[in-house]
Amino acid sequence: MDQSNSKTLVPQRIMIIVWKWKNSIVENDGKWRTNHKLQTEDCIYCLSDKEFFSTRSEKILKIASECAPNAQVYIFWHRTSSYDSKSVGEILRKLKADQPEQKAECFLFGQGSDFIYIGINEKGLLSPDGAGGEGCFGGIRNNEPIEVVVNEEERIIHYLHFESIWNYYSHLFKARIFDLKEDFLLHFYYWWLRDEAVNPLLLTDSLKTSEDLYRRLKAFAHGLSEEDHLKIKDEITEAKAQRDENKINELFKRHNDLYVMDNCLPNLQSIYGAEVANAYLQLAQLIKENILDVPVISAKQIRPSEKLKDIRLQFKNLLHTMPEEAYY
Amino acid sequence: MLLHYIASDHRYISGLSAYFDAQGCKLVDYEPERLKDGSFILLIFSPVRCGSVRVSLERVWKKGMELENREAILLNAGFEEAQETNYFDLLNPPANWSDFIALAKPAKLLWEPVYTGGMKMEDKLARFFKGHGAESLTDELYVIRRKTASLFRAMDKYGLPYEVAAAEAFETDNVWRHWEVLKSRWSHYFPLFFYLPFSGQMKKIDASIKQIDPFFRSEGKNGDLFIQLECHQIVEYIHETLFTIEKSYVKGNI
Amino acid sequence: MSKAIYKILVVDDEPEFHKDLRLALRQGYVFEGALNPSEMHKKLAASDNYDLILLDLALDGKDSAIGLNLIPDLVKNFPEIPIIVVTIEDKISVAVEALKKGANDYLHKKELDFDLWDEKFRDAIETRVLKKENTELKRQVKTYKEQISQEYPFIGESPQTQEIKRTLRIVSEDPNMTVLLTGETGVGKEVAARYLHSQCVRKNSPFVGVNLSAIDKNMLESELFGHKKGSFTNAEYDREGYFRQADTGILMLDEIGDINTDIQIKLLRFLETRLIRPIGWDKDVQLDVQIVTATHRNLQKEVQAGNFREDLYQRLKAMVIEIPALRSRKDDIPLIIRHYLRQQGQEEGLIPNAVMKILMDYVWPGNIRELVNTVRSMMMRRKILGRNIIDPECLPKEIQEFIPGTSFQSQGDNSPQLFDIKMDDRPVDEQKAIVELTRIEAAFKKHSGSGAKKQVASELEYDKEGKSDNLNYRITSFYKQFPHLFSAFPVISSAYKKYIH
Repeated sequence: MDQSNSKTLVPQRIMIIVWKWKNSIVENDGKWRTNHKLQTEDCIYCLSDKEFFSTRSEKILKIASECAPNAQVYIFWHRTSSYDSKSVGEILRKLKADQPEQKAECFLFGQGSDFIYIGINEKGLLSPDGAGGEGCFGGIRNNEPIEVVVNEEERIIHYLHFESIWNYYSHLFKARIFDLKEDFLLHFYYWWLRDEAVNPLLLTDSLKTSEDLYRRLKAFAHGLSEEDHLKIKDEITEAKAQRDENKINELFKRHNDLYVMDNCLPNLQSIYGAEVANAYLQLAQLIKENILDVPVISAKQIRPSEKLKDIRLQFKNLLHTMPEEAYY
Repeated sequence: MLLHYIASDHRYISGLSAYFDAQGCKLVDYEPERLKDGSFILLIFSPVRCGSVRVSLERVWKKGMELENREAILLNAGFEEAQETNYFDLLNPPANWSDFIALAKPAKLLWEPVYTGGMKMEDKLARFFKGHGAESLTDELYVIRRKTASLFRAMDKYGLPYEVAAAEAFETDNVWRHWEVLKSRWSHYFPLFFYLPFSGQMKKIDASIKQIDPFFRSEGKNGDLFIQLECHQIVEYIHETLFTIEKSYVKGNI
Repeated sequence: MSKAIYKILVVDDEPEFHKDLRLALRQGYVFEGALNPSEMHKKLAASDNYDLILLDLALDGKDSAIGLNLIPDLVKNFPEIPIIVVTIEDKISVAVEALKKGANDYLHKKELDFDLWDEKFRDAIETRVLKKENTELKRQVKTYKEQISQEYPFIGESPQTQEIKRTLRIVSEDPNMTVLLTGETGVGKEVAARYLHSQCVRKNSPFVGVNLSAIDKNMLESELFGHKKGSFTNAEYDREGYFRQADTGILMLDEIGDINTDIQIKLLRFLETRLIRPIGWDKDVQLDVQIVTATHRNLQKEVQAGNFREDLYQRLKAMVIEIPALRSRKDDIPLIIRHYLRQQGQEEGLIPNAVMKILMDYVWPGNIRELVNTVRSMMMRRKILGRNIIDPECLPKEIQEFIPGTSFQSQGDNSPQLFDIKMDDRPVDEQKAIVELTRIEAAFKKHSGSGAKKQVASELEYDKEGKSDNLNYRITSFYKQFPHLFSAFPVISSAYKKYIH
């Protein structure tokens, strides 16, 4: 939200960032405010990732209870701090139970590859290269220092950084689902144009030729399995061993998309409730039945043109239940 | 019938080639020099992918056609389910292309292109030019312009040697930082301009930035570069070009 | 008008902006900077000789209201310093608001055309300088006009003068009334015309006074109506002409009886149509000029004599105001004298009552002009004679020897009475000749015999070196000019019968 033009307030916005913060950041409940002239209640809570999940969850619930009843809460969890999608779902459920009016979302981040990092976004918040391996606000980008903190004593950060992160993540799920839709339909467009009944396994095989799309669709419909997580780790390890910077960055981007898909359902449920969750599940089911989980032996022939329209309709239903735009 | 098209993925075209052949249409890559042709038709497969984002360009293109060729016809095609003149639902293409074209409205008329769900380019452009905040280039460009303009004037009008004028102009190292920020933001935006009506001008700006970059990277220590690379003139050119585009596409209300 | 270096106070929160401005406009300006309103006030308090204030409206980088709100106080407290505002906003309303509040001009911060900035700085500064000079000039003109009206005051409280003033005030209510002022030479016709001017709606417009008899007759048309360059030989430049100079004001044409027929026709045309045509022009010019004419002549007689057009005369005498001779309003004489003395910074008590009485008893053929010259001459003679006050010896001879009631009254003999003909109709020179001849005649009556001329010369101080040539020269000179007078001076005529026939 651009402060210069803002005439109306939005509900209180809270970021809770669980990370390897240096100690001075997490003091005083780890609370930092922004210098936004209108959104004076917006703030960031910096929580250390050294605590157990249960302790951390309690603190998050406490923070949420002290915020406005209709506040929006974004939780950023450092991925390599052993949090995963189960954790995402769990904390979102707890928050929903505790503060039903609040809208909470939870994102995993890590490895310096996400939009929250200054290395990716000049208006990011975090730098993975904090002093002594400890995280802090701001950092170096393209050899230039990026200052995020406006007043260390009063614990104020610049509102533009807050806004940048908030805007990006508030559109994240819809943008990824929209991308998925477009990529999916485009991939199978050839099949639609053939307009004939085919064995659905052909569609599955076709999908697998686009590994990126396949993995995203799987993450969307099924979530990431243990196998998927292992594969992600192996890919990074291999790329780092080759010291292939470009490949590493490309992998980071792909993996982020997978994580987003993986965390999609619990977040959408938290934000929008059952209607959206149902639409999501229906779409996932359609994709599984017709593309991903087609039984090898008894698969019935399908007309791709009909199925694609069904799937498009279901994507449309899902996207239309999410009121914000896909991109800002 | 000749159809110029813009698409970020060949699969649209390869998929539809049989369809258009059957309809008696020839699809060709968009050629900017043909934009002013009398019977110009442009088909945009939307949203187009620009880097990691998908962008809906139709409204900017409509504006561009209003400026360059008001009789031209703009069509967009996408997976958005809609039945509108000037829109081609990829999963429900028109049965008769000639009828479809006959009903299509030229750019000069008041109509809204179907929104295909991508990043709204008209909004992005507005933020690019707006002059405030994290996305704008113009604040950075302004500071750089002021430096190069005052430096140049001191040398040109008052005969000051570069070293003397530069010592005054670059007493703090602000401008180098602004240049880096400008380049960074430009690199973020430039891919988005690839499919726009003024992409040619943006390519020239990109080349211009690269041209004078050595001077800024030298942090002004190489005074010869300032003159040889025509830094002041290039910076002014960048500003003028952006200003013209802003006037046409943003302030003219898309 | 242009200074070598102008001093500009730059009020902007961005230090780099100050620096860049100094670099880009390094000649012709000295810049001082203030980063915020507080600094600005301090600078202005310390020195208000800035030639310009360059004020950034958004002094906090965002809110133009901060700068806008400073403008009214700046305008009020430093009216001499022009203000140019600098705005980053694209909205023209902000600039308009600034101009309404008193800023002189605005610049858009992102329009980095330093040549334009330079031009705007100079325009604002030099316009303000011009305004200041204009204000000063207007003040000087006003002072000058006041001085003129003091120089030509209509002094007098006599009933006649009061009546004249009252008449002029009433006449002044019609700014298009053609007025004819009559009266003896030196009676104050120009003063009366200026008084009329000062009372009417044209008082802030020009008053142009022209003595028509002083202009070469061949040049009169050109002088009055103007000419185009090259329209005749020696017309080397365009001439505006008195009529156009007096446009919207009053043109006083003195000695109107002295103009030839051509000029009379052109003047008549103007009075009828308000049009003139300068020499060499192919079209007429419409003017708004009130005509005030003056003459010591009897225009009716001039008409009868065929020297003056009847139709013009009828136009001119729309309003005739006779300015009485000074001798008819003797009570004004002390007032006039006192006014003149005050103007010269002299004490009024320099003239004792006895002398004042002599002055009041004199006939003043030259009227006020003669009176003023006489006072001037008296002051000089006082100094020469080393007197503290003006005594009778400081007076001119003709006044010293003037016998009240005799010179212009019947002599009681059979000599033709000069006063069968009114002195009013005689030219000044002739009147003066009469006065002098009267003195000489009186002196000759006292002295007779062969040495009479020498004695008269000595008495009247014509003969300073023991010769009588001066007296002879005066007599013969008078005779050459005014032979018709000598029949009234039989003693002189007899003494100089060799020269006088």
